[in-house]
Amino acid sequence: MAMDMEKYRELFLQESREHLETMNRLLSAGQAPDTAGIDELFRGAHSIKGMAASMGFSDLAELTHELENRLSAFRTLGRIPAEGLGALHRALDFIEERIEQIASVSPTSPSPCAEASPTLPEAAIPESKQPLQTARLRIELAAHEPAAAARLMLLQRELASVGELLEIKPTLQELAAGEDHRYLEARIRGAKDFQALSLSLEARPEIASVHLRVEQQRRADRVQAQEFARVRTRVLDRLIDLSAEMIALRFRLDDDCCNGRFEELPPELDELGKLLRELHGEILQSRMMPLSQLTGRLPRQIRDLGEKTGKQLRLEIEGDHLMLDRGVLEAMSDPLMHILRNAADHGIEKSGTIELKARRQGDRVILEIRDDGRGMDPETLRQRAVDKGLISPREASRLDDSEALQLICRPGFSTAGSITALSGRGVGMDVVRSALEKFGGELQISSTPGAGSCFSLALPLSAAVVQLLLLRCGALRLALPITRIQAAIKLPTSEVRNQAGRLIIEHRNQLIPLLSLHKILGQSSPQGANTLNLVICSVGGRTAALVIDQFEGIREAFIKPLSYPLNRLAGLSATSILGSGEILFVLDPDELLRAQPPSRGVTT
Amino acid sequence: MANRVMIVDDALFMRNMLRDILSGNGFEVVAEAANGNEAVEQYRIHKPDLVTMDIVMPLKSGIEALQEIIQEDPDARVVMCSALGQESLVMEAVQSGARDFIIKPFDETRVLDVLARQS
Repeated sequence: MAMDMEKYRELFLQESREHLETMNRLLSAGQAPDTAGIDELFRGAHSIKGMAASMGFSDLAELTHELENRLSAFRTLGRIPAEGLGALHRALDFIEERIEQIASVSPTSPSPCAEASPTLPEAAIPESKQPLQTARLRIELAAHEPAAAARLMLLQRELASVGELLEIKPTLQELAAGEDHRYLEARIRGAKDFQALSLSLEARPEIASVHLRVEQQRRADRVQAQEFARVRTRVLDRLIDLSAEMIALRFRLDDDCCNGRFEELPPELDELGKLLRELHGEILQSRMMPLSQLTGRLPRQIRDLGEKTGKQLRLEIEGDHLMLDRGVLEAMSDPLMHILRNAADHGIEKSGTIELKARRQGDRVILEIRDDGRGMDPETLRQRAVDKGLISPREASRLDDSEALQLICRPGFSTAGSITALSGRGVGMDVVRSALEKFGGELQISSTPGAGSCFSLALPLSAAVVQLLLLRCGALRLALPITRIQAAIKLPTSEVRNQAGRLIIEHRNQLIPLLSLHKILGQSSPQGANTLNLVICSVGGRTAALVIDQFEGIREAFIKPLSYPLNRLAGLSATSILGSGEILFVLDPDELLRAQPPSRGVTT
Repeated sequence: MANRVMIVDDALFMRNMLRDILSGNGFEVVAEAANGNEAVEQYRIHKPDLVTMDIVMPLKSGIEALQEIIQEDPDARVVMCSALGQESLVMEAVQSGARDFIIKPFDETRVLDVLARQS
C-alpha cells in the first residue's frame, strides 16, 4: 500500500463502521428489508468495497464484492429469504471483524483523520448540489455612492433573481418614494451559495460591506443536504473554549462599565455579544451527533442477547434522529447497554419487546426504554432493601411506590434474585444513575407488575452549558449544577435535630443528614447563625443537606472539565469563568457525598 | 460572450470617450445613436447585447427610448448613463427596466465593471 493511503485509514475505518451500523440496523429491523432496504444494503456494501479496494485490503474488497452479488440477486428477487438473512448477518459480522482487525493492527497514528483531504480521489467526494438555505444579508452602500435608492432597487432585484425574498428592508415602495436609505437588509431563501454571493457583492465598488448570516437549517433540510467535513473533536473543543472565553470577556466589559471604569460602552458591543453567543451556539451545534450513532449498534447486540438468553427479543427504535452532544452520547453508551441488558435478563421472560423511544422536551431529550416483561413489584423492592439493611422498616413504609422503585438505584441493591452472565457484573443501577447525573441527566423509573418497566432518561442536549447555583462557603465562591440539586432552603437552626450524634433535618417528610461544606473544604465554620442555608443534594439514592454560607444566585454558564492535576481533587468537577474574570469551581455532589461520612456534631 | 455594444449619447465627446474605453477592453461597439429615436431604430437593426443610454437627450429622452426598447425586447440589457443629481430620473429608469447605471464623469474601471457584469 502506498504510504499516503495511510492517511485515509481513519476515514476508511470510520465510514466503514458507519455503513456497517446502517446495514446492521436494516437487517435487524423487525421485518426483512424491502427493496429500498436492499438497495441501501447494496450501497453500503458497495461503498465499503470501493474503500477497501482503494486501501489495498483486497480480501475485504472481495468479501464485500461477494456480498454485493448476493444482495444484487435478492434485489432481483424483490426480497431477502429467511435463510439469506442469516447469511447476511454472518457476512456483516465477518466484515466487522475484519475491519476491527485492521483498526487494531497499527494504533491510530497521530490523528490523521481530520486533515482536509484535498488529494482524496475525486470520486470519493460526491458533488453535492447546493442545498436550499436561508440567509440574512445586510448590504451597505459605499459612502457617497450616488442614486442610492436606485442602486438598492437594483440590488434587491438581483437578490430576488437568486432566491425568494422572505423579508426585505427597505421595500421597493419605500425606495420608489425616494426615501433615503444606504443599506439593504434581506432575508432570502434559495439554493444559492450565499457565501460566494456575499463575497462577489462585497467586491463591488458601490458596496461598502456585506454581512451574511446563513440561518441554521431545519432538520428536514439538513437531512436532505448532508454535507460533512470531518473535524478533529479536539479542534471543536478548543473552539468551544475560545468562544466561551470571548463571551466571558464580553461580560467583563459590562461589569467594568457597571463599576464605572468606562462611562458607556459603544452599542456595537451588544452586537458583538450577540454574534459571539451565536458563534458559540453554532460551535456547540457542531458537536452534536444523532442518537442513531448510539442506537445503530443495538439491534445486533439485542440479537446477541437473545441468543445468549434463549429469549425472543424484539427491539423497536423511534426518534433516533435527535441530536445530542457527543460527550453526552459517549457517556450514555454504557448506562443504556446496562438498562437493555437488565430488560433482556430480568424484565422479559420468554419473549418480548423492548422499545426505545426518544423525543425532544425543551432543552432535553427524553429517552425511554420500555419492556413488556414481568415488571417490578414495589413491595418486593421495599422488603429487599430492608433485608439488605439499606433502609429501616420505618423508612421503607414511608416510601411511596414510585420512590420504592428508585431503590434499585441504591448502591448494594442487587436487581436480580439470581446473578446471571448478562447483568450480574457488579455494575448496578446505582452506577447507571450516577453516570447519568454526572452530565446533568436524570433517571426515572416506572413499572407495573406483570406489564413491564420503563426507564426514562432525561438527557441534556449539551453537556457544556449548564445552570449553576452560585454559593459562598467561607472564603470560597463555588457553584453546583442545578440539575444535581433537589432544593435550596433556609432553615432556622432550631429545626436541626440531633439523632444519635448525627445532625439531621426533616424536609418534605424525609430525614436528611447535614453535611458541613466548610468542613469538607477545610473552611472555618461560621458561628451562631440563626438560620442555616442548605442545599439538598441527592446522589445515588443518598440524600444530604450541605450547609453553606450564602446563596449568590443562578447563572447559566459554560463549564470546562478540570484537567490534570486539578481533576485529581475529589469533589470538584469543572470550572467556569465569571464575568469578573474570577474562576469559579463547580462542585461534584456525587464525590462530595461519597467521600464523607454523615456529619456528627456539625457546628453551625 | 455578450460584448456587442450600442452607445447612445447626444454628445459626440461622450460617445468617443465611451467607445475608447470599451473597444480597448474586449467590447465591440456595433452602433451609436445621438438621440432616443435613433436609439430605438438602431437597436432594431443591430440587436446589440448591451446598450449604454444617456438620459437627457433631444427628440426622445433616454427613458422613453429605454421603455420602447424593453417593450420590444424584454431581455434588452440597457445601462443608463446619468449625471450627478438626476436621482429621480435614474430611479425611473431602473423602474422601467434598466439593468444598471453609471454616473458621469465616467470612471473607466467603474464603466467596465458595470458592463462586464451585464455581458
